[in-house]
Amino acid sequence: MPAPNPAETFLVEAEDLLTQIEESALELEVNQPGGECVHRLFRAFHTIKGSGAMFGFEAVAEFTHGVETTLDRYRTENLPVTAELVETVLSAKDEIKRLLEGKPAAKEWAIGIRLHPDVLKNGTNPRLLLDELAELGECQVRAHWDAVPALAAIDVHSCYVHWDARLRTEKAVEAIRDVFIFVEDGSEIRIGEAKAKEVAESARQVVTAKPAAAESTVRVPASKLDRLVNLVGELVMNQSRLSQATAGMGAPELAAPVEEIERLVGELRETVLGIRMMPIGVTFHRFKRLVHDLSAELGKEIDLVTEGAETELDKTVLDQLGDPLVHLIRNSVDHGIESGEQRRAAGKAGRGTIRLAARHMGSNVVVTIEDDGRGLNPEAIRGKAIERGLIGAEAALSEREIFQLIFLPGFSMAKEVTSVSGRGVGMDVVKRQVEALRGSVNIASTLGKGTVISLTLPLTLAIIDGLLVEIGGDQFIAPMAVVTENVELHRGDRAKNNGRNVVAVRGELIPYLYLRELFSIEGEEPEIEKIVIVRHEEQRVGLVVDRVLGSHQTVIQSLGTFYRNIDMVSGATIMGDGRVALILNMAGLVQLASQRLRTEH
Amino acid sequence: MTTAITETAQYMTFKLGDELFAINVAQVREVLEVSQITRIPTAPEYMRGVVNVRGKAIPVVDLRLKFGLPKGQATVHTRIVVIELEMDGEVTVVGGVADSVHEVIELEPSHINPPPTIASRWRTDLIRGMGRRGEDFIIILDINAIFSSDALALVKQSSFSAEEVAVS
Amino acid sequence: MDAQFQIREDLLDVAGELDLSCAEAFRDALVELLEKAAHPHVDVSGVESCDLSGLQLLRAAVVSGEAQGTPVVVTGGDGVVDEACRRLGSSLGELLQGGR
Repeated sequence: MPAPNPAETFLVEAEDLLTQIEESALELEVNQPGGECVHRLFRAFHTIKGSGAMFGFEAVAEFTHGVETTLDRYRTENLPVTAELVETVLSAKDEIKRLLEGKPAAKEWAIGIRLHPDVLKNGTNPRLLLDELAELGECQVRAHWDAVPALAAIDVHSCYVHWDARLRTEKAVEAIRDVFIFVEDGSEIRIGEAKAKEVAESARQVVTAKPAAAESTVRVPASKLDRLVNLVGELVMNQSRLSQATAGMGAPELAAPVEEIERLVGELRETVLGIRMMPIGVTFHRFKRLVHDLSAELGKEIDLVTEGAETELDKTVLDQLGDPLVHLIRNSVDHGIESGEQRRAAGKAGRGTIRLAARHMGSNVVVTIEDDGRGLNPEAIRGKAIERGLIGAEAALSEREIFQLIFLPGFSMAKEVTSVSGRGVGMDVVKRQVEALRGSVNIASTLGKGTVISLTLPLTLAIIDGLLVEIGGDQFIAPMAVVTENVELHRGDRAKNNGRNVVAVRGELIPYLYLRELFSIEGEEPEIEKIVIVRHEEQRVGLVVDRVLGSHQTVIQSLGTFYRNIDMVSGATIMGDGRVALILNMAGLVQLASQRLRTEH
Repeated sequence: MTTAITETAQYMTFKLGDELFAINVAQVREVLEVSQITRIPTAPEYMRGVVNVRGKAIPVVDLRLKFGLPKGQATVHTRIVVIELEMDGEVTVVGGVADSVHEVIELEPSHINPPPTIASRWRTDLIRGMGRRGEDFIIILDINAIFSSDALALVKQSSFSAEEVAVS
Repeated sequence: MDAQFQIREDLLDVAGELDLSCAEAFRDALVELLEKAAHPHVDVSGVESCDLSGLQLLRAAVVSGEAQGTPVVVTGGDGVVDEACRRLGSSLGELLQGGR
């Protein structure tokens, strides 16, 4: 079903409201307080104002505003009704009605199109006619195929299809006729005004085209944008194949155009990805209200300061960032910032501050949530982790490592459960949500001074700079952002460390994952393998692969619901030769590495 | 619960072992020869991996294993049936590996029995009916239900023997 | 690329630009397929563009197949061919919906 035209819905609603207004106005008794009747009038005008503004009836909204203000005074001060008021309301109602009708109303036309069977032979393309029709307004077309005969009877050059169209346009009927001017002879074009009931029944929306209005913005369904991004991705992929192929051919006459294509494709990619970029400020905005409400509830005084609201990132990232941010801000309000007395007793200002900031860092966006509250107490966290059996009593952990414990499932810092932070949802969920966006969470804190949590997020989820590696015949991609270096692994070296998978890189012992084994890839490893060293949070981990094939910029595809439980892989990408390469998920791999390491000890 | 079939429809038939299965053609996007399937590490065995279908990575499921039948060998007849599913209200595309793909048939409701509730080795909540065509029985699958279920079995008991009689 | 039609057993592979200039060849290929094939299958995944005449022929093949009891299966139409249908106010599903 096509959604009903919102402006139309408004007109219908306004009609009802105007009727109500008239009735209510006539109920008013002069020299008596208006009471419920004035309330009703106020609400009706208020609705007309709000909806009118929303659907582009600015003149109506503006006019109504004045009436609303007058009524509001009568309402709040409960003034006795004057004859003038009744008169004002009634004439206002008439004026609104006039304003509403003054807008050139788009009409809906029902058009029947039966073209002469020979139009195709004459070079007419029915599709262009339909496109032209669609340019006149909002157009829905439905083709009818039932007249197409069996193969034996068909004249391949004849047109057997006819169409029904619904066109909503402000243009005159002549404009519609003009579309068919060159096919008029022998064709049957019927144009009639559609009745409201039929409009509702023209359910099968097939072709919809909006008039090419002289507006500065165009609303595009996100799915179309996704398709565009995918296409550009394929283009990027094929362009790099083309560049490779021509580089190997040594054909100088190809070099210049290929280079030009490379430049254009690069520009196209930037532009297309740019379309989906939105300022993070849209998200920030709602947190002002959140902090205001929460702090009022808890009796704290807290200011929210935002910075870098203009920082842009991909809408898909932005959409999924709201939840973790809400959670982190709730945490700061609830647990981070102390009560006014506590703060003053500690020699701080009574008002707490939460600073929410965003900034670009390379191909990432870093969002920080900083509070000047009590900070995290490493000893308390440590004690709790031991109590919960998350670490051993004698475990030697750095302060950073201790802070990371907060992200473990089942770790909750709050001594008491409040309505603000709630129960059960912990930082582990925040971490998971951020990692699902291929981001990471970091935490820094000074006891008594405050806590800073930073989220590092990719600018976009659509494209990844990756290092292409191979194991057996399988190809994988490690996100370039986490790769620090490659080292060689000779077969002899593996045995040396008593079977422990660690490699010494400039004095540091780095555990590595033997991916061939882990992924059960058959075949024998080469004499010299490569260890790709990646950094994830505070750890460095090596991934052993057969070969490193080089860096690639690729378009990420989700593996969908079927593989949602697979932690090792975060997506897939189609390579230039049509093969599928899997994108390695560092969080999953590092987690696995530390599990392995722990069991080894 | 699956609803009874009340309309004549076309079904694509395929075989796993000796059993003939059917899926409504409306849910079949295309049939592919088995090309390179990229295995997903650590995924369960029945999830065979992903294939590139026109530039999209589509998950591939081994229908034999998904239905709880014994593992089969790839032959020249092995095909990937690309199926459009509705899972959790979203349309998902998945490839199913079948031993061989057969004709598209039209079945009238009168030729389809509701899934038998007793004396059947098939899980009745995952099949829409039993079609008859001459001597043959065709198991009409409720493909949405099958893939929405995590269960790895279409047969009720895990043991499977080809000698068993399908339905009475 | 001009349209190409290749019949292998029950399968007709259609590739290239399916327009009025090759409509007769397409019709002939479809007629041949429907004469020979027990389970006619038309794969249009190689089609690069398609106009009304091509769609009408696909439709005609579905009508003929149904009439003679060998329903035609059309695969690979979800891209270009479906888009061509949509531009003409229809969809692949509607196009292939038998002559009812």
